[in-house]
Formats: sequence, structure tokens, C-alpha cells
Amino acid sequence: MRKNSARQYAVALYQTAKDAGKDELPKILNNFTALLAKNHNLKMAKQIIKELITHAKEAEGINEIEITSAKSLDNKTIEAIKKIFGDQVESRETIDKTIIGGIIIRTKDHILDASVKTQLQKLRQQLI
Amino acid sequence: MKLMSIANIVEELKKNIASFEKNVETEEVGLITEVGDGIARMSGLTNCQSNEMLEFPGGTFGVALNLENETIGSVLLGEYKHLKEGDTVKRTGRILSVPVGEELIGRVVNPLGQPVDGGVEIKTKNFYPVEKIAPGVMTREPVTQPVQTGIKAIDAMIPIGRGQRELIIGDRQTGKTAVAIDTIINQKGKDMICVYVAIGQKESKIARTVAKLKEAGAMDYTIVVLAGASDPASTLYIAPYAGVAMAEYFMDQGKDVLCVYDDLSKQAWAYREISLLLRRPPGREAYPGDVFYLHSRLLERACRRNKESGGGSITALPIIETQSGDVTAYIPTNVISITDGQIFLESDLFYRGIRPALNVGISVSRVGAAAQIKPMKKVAGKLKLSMAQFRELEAFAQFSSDMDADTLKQITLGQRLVEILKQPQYEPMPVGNQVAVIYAVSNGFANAIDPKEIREWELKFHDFMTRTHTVLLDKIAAGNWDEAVEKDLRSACEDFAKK
Repeated sequence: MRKNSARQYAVALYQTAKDAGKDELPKILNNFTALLAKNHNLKMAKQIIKELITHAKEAEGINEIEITSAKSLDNKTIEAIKKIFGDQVESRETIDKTIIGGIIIRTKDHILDASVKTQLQKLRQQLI
Repeated sequence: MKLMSIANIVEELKKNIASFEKNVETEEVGLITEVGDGIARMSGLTNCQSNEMLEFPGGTFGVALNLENETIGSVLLGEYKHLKEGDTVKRTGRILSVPVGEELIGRVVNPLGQPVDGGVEIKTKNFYPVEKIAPGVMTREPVTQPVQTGIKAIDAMIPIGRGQRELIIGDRQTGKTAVAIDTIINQKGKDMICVYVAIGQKESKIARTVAKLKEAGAMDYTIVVLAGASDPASTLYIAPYAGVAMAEYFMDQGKDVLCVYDDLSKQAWAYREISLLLRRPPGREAYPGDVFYLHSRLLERACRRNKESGGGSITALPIIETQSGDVTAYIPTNVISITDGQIFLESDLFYRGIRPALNVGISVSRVGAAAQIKPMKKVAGKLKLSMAQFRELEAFAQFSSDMDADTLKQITLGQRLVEILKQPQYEPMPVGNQVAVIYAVSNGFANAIDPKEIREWELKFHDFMTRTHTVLLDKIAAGNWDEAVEKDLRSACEDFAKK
């Protein structure tokens, strides 16, 4: 039998648990744990939880972005950035002094690089 | 004046900087989920194409081979020890391609086109994709021009034409590479570019080969593509495709190219390794299901193109190493069925001193006969017949001592023919001399000579011919053959016999 990946488990769990009532949920979770035990897949639990969170966010249309900047940004700027990426956006901010200025925004599949560091590098390439 | 120019430069620079566009870079990225054994798996990169180059941190490149539901599997070209889970991988949007051009001639490069001979950096204008669909039917034409290998036995009995694919197959240590190298050496002054692709060979052997090519002046028209035994499987796998891409550039200029792949069994091993690591299902001998396509798509790129499509040709000489003469193994049968003929080299013959250790009985060339020059066709017909008769009588002759005169004559002739087809390595022979010497022996001019002394006799014969009959040899090499030429040749042989 082909092994199920963590993502497949997560998708299955999400789909069953999504519309379940309050009373059903413990039963579903019990069954799910039993299934994992039966397939000797309990060690994948951590990954499954991670996948479940990403999948749930995807399914509910929540975008996750990561904003990297040289200085900490104020809330207004962050809100403005979030608005560009849709209605439901969760952001994570990190500070990286080496980019000198500007911001780098990272979505699931793309990197939008508007940092001073990259632009200086490009200018250098153009001049040499 | 100097100050002025500096001011100018500053002005230019200012303008340049002012006009510099501050674009926001958008890049598609993915994350490594698994890395090791020269392959990496990653998530993300939803729009990645098959065979696309991927950029890993630290300047390492990879090629996307497996596009799956959630993940992408790729082979890494080069160092991968610094990569770890969670690293970002960028799409490049480029299909794997190699630099091509005249600058590569005389160089030793790796399959990515970077020099490995310690010479200067190679800067070419053009890049060709490594994988390309072979030319179609409408652009091709039949093989008509010969590739002179300079080896008597091959040029006479298994002729190769420009645009043909002729397999060289045999056990280890039977002189497969020697045949290919001699062929490359013999292309001097014949308007042919050669590409020698060394796959998974010892670097010491390559160094020796390159030195030999240099010594013979063959590096003036040769490119060596080297993927050594210590290189990762991914580079071994792409090496022949890189080589043929470099060859295609010259074909597009209307030139004739000779491509040697030494050897394709090692490439198949490398591909098997990659496929198993990428968890593709194994088939016969653990090779993946598309191992036939691996070689067919490569060899199909050898072709003779017609004038309307720009002309030019690529002749392919793939080499396959068999294990103790087993040609029924998976890879040998595959490649035999793809190519237009094969040259079988046998260790038995090699140890008996018959070098090149060619098995004339089972070696064939399916299209080369059309490309043979007329004089060679004439003398080779007789040679083939005499050899076949000799092979039949040979075993029988070992048992009986008293034979009738006819049989004895056949055997005497046969023994001398076997001797005359022997040829030392790195000594390719011009086609005129080949025709002359084969004509002389098969018409019995050497019957009085002891088989052991044939070599000496041959040297004297060539010496005599080149000294006194250069015009005749040139005529033969140009493809002229009529009664007058034959008469001249016969009288030359008679003159030599008298001496």
C-alpha cells in the first residue's frame, strides 16, 4: 500500500472535521489517532499539525506573508501592505539590517524584493 | 584632456544612475524539504517547468526533473553540502543550456561548458538548450558521404557515412576508445569538427587521450566534454546532451560533425542512480522505464540534413561496454536497435593479436555502403568474400594436413588478409593506401610472403607507393575507378613484387 503523506492526512482531517458538530469532533479525532497508530504514522503528528494549519488557512482564503525590513515598521504601513494581498492576510515581520533599506515581502510562492541591497547590486551589475 | 574625459565619465555615470529604474524584483521561490545524494526535493515553485534550471543558495544550480502534486524533485549540478532544509530555491525561467561556438574548439570543458583544462574563460555569444527535439523527416536526406576512420578493416567492410550512428561495442579493454580516437585523428584536413564526450572515465585516461590528440594535431578541430568518474551522476547524465548541443551549433553552420560518446553504459548507470533516488519505479536491471528514450532521443539527433534545411551533419559513434560479451543485456540491445549498425570488438581476437579486435562476421553498417567511395567498394567486395570463405575453411584446415590446391590457396590468401587488416593504434591510413594494399593482397601479390612478415611487407609497399605512385593514390582517394586505374594499380603491384 502506498504511504500517505502528512499533507494527505491533514487534508482528510480538515475535510471531515470542518463541518462536524461539537459532539462529533472528539470521535473524529479519536478515530484519526487510531488510524495513525494503525498505519504506524504517529511520528508524523507534528508535521500533520503543521500541514493542517497551512491547509486550513489556504482553504479559508487566508494569505500568509512575511515582511522583512531594515527598521521596524509602524502598524499603518503594515496594514497598507496587507491590504494589497487581499482581505484576510496574516503577516509576520522580521528585521534584517543587512538589506539596508526598503522591504522584502514573501508570499507562498513569490518574493517581492524592493530592498536597497538588491537595487544596489543591480546598479552595480549595470555599471560594470 | 585627461581631466575632461574624467569629467565626462562622471557626467555619464550620474546620468546612468539617475536613469536607473528602481524595479521591484519578483521571483518565484520554493523551499527545500529534503536534500541529499545529489538530489533535492522542494515545495512551492508551482509554475516550474520540466527541465528548468533552478538556483539554489550559494550559486549551485539544479534541474527540475520530477514535477509532482506537492513537490518538485531536482538533481543538483555541483556542490550541495551547504544546502539544508528550509533554504529558498529560485526559478530561473531558463531551460538548461550550454555555451556553443568556435571558442570551444580545442578546449576541454565540463558538461556545463566551463573549462577544465586550466585555460582562459570561454566567452561565447550563443547558448543552445541541452535537450532539443531531433530534426524531422522533411529536413533529412540519405547518407552519401563517407567518414574515413583510417582503419582498414572498418573503412573496407563496415563503412561509416556522414550522419550515421554506428555503435562501437565490446568488453572492457578491447580497444573501443582506440577506434574512436583513431577516427578523430584521421579527420585532420577533412573539414570535420569532432566532439569527444567522456562519460565516467578515469581522469588519468582522459589526460592521456587529450595529450595524444594534441600530439596528433587533432585538438585543432576537437572539443572534449568531460564528466569524470568523480563528478556527480547529474553531470554524467547531461554530458552527451551537452556534447550534441555543441555539435548542433556547427551543424547549423552547415558543417559536418563527428560526435563520440564514450561510453553510454556509464551514462545509463548515472541515469539509473538519479531515477532511483528520485523514487521513480525501477524496471528491468533496475533501470527506469524511460531508459530507451534516454538513448534514442540522443542518437536521433545525429542526422544528415538536406540543403534546403541548411545542410550539415552529425555522425554519432556511441560506445557501449558489455560485461563478458553479453550483448543481450538491456542497454546493449537497446542501443543496437537504435543505431544504424555496430562494430563488435572481442577480447578473444584482441588477445590473439588481431588489433583492432574486430569481429567481421557480426559487425554491420546498415547505411554506410552508400557512402563508400567507388574504388573501396570494388576492392572491399572481393575482400569480404575471401574473408567469409576463409572463416569457413579455417576450422576445417586445423584438422586435415593434406588439402586440395584450391582450398590451400583460399587459406593462404585468408591468412594474409587477416594480417593486413591488423593495424597499430594512432596510425590511421589514407584511403588511397588502404585501397592499394587491400587490392594487392586480395589479388595474391602477398601470397609468397610469410604471414609473420606481412607487416614489414606492408610498410615497404606503402613506402613504394607513396614514393612512385602519388598521382594514382590521389586519383583513387578522389573516388576514380575504371579499367585504366585498375590497370595502373595492377602494374604498380607487379613492379613492387619484382623488387
